[in-house]
Amino acid sequence: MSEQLILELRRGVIVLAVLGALREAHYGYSLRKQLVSLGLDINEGTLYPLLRRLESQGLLRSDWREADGRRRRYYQLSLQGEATLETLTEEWLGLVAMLDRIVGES
Amino acid sequence: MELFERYVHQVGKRLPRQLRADVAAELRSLLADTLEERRSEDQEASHEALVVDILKEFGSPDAMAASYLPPRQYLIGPAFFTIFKIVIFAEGVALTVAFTIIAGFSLWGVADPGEIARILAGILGSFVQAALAGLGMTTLVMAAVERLVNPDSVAPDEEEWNPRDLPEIEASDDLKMGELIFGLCFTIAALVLFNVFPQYVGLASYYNEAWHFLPLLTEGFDRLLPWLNAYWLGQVILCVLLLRRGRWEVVTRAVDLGLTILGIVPLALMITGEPWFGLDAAAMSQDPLWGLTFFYNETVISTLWTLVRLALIIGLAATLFNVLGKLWRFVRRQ
Repeated sequence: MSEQLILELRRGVIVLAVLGALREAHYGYSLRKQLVSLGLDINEGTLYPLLRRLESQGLLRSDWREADGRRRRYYQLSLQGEATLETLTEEWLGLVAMLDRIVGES
Repeated sequence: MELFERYVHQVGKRLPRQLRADVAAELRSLLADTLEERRSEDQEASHEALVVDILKEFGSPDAMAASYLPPRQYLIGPAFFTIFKIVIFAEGVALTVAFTIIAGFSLWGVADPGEIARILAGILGSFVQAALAGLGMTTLVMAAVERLVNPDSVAPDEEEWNPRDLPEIEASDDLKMGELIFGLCFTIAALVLFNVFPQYVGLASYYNEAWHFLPLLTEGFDRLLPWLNAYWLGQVILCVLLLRRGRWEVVTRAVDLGLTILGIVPLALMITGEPWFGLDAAAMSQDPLWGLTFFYNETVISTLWTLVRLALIIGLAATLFNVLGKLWRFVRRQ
C-alpha cells in the first residue's frame, strides 16, 4: 500500500524534474542517466514517452543530431517550457513550505 | 540486434501509423545507447543477456506502446481488450464451423444453381445476424466487466514478460503498393466490363472491311454475376483498407480470409451450374476466318467447355487449399 502511495507521490514530480533537467539539451539516454545520478530512478517506459508528450504540448523542442556515427534526438526546453518550469517551480516551493508546516507540526 | 528490431516492430504495430516511424527511430537510438553503456559496464556478459535485460527494463511492447498513446476513455480498455479479441475470435470460429456444417447439410443433393444461391444467401444472412448478435452481446458483457472488475487484477505481470518470446518480423506484414494499386484497377475494370459491357466479352475478327463479333457469355453468366460482384466489391474494399492502413492487420487478414471463402461459391457454380459461356456454332460457320463446318465448330466448343471446367476444378482445389492455409495462419497469429 505504502509503495503505491510513494509511487503516486513521485509520479507527480517527474514532469517538474524532467523540465528542470532539460534547461540543457539532452538525448533520452543521457537525460535518464542524469536523473538517476541525481536520485530520481525513472524507468525507460515512463521517461521516453513522457518526453514526446511534453514536446507535443509545446513545452519541449527536439531535433535529431549525429555524433560518433549515431543519430540521437535531443530535447530542450522551449520558451513555453521555460515559462511553465518557472510557474511549476514556484508552485513546488510553495507546496514544500506548506507541507513542511503541516507535516513538521504533526 | 535482432531482438531489438523485433521489439521495435512490435511496439510500432501497436501505434498509429503517423507515430510509428518516428517512435521506431527514437527507440532504436535509445536501445543502442543503453546497450553501449551496459557493454562498457559489464564486458563479460553475453550480448543476448544484455539485450534481454535491457528489453525487460524497457517493458513489454504493450506497455511501451500504451505509454506513447494519450489517455483515453475506453468502452473496453487495454486490460480487457486482449480477452475481448480472444472471445470474439472464438465466437467467429465457432459460428463459421457451425454454419459450414449447416450449409453442407442444406446443399446436400441440391443441383439447381438458383436453389443453391437461395440457400447460400439465407445461410449467409443468418450467419451475419448471429455474428452481429454475438459481437453486440460480447461488447456489452466486456463493457460491464470493464466497469466492475479492477483492471490491475488481470494485467499481465511485467516481470513475466520475456523478450525471447518476441515474434519474428514477418515480411508479409508489409505491402507491395504497386501490386495493390494494380489489383484495385484490375478489379474495378472487371466490375465495369462484366456489368456494363458483358456483350463485348467475346471473339472479334475483321474481314470484308468490317468488324465481326462472336459473344462469349451466355444467359447462365447472369446467375454468376451477383456472386462475382460481391467478391470483386469485397476485393475493392480490402485494397482500400490495405492502402489506408499500409500493412496487413487482423481486420484485413479476416476480410481476406472471408473473401477467399466467398470466392469458392462462384467457382463451384461455374463448375456445377449450367454453361455460362459458349460460342454459337452456326454463327461461327458463317465466319470465314474460322473456316470450319458446323459439326467441327460444335466439337471445338464442347472440347473448350470441358477444358474450362477442368481448369476450374483445379482452381477450386487450389482455392480450398488456400483457404485452409490462410485459416491456419490466421489462427496461429491469434
